[in-house]
Amino acid sequence: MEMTAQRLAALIAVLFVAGSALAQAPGDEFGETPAPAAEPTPQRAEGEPAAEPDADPDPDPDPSVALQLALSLGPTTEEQLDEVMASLGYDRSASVFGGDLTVLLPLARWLWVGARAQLRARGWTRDDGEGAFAFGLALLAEAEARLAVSPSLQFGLYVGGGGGLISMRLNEAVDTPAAPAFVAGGRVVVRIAKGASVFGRLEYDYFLAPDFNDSGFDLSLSGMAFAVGVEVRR
Amino acid sequence: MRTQTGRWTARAALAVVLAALACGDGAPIIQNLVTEDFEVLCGDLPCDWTLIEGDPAQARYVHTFHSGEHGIELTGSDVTVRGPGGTPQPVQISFGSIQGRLVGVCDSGNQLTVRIGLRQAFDASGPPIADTLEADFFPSDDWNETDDRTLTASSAFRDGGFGTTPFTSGFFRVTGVTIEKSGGGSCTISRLIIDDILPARADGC
Repeated sequence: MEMTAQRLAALIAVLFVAGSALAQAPGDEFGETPAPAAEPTPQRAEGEPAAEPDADPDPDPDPSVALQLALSLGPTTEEQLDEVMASLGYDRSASVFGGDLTVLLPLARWLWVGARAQLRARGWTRDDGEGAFAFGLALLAEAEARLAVSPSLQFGLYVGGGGGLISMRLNEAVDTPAAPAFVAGGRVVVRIAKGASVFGRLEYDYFLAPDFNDSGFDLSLSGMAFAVGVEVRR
Repeated sequence: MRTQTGRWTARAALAVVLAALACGDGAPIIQNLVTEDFEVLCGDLPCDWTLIEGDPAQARYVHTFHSGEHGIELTGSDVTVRGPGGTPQPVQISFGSIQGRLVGVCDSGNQLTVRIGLRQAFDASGPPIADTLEADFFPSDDWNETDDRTLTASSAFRDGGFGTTPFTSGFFRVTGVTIEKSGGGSCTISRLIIDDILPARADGC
């Protein structure tokens, strides 16, 4: 047992040292291998004009902030409210669409934390009259772990939680209950230029006002969602 | 030769398409006679609805699960409201073809009786056919359960009733709708639909 503990401690120490070395290694945000040490520059002759400074060998130096903008689309989850809306003559509401803006700050090269503002919406059309519409705005705290698999490709896993308001408009009246919001998903990020990337992501959104108006119904903007977006790092 | 064969093939295909269009897809024929959503308020009740039995406090306009979605609430026993009918429509009516769908909730042990007046709009051959059809509805206390019932005639039509003739065709209109509540609790009705539903013919034509 004592030997096992010692081995475990040694393994942790090795991983810590290796992680520190990786964290300190130069390279861009996508984990490019560090450039070899530059040859020592020859002494400049007296009177010779100063040489232009070398171009930054790191195309994306360690960023201090990342901005993500995404558009999302996904199927709705079938709730009791949808059945009632159908019995009242509304068509099925098939999809939730929306967009979000996320700001992330690096805690480590692989770990980012920040906040997301998200908008989600869905509608119920009706053949013989005005349709109904629901949209929600939420603010979530978010954390994302990134793994660079190549200089131009990263995978990310993220979770977030927060809350917001969902507003449902029906027959020109609006009800706006509060709703908790959670998100979890994965992201594939492809670098397209210095400091700029595009990404696709698949996530589960939980954004639902339970038992709104004491009706026994949940007003839901939840569901699986696919999104595409852009990310800018500075 | 090949061209002539092609022409016949095209004609056959056209005939199949025309036959399909003429015969329909075998789905029931649904003709809406009344749709009442109780959405617009006039005084204390939805527009065109009046209390014909009971105390005024027993019938009121209320919102349901959303402030923009309304209904009529009937409370206590022996309360009846009367609402509008519809416009004349060319329909074929057979026994059991008049169907009602009620979207609403009731406390346990309550019942709603829906009656409609059905009257032939005009008939040059004699006095118009007219009758009252009714059905008892038993809505649950759950909004997402609709109650579908067949309205049956309380007396026969002039021609001997639905049972002796397969169809009575003509211009009919619903002259009015009454909803009578019995039981001690309350019921809220958000939507009432009266349809004439004819089953598809076996041959689809």
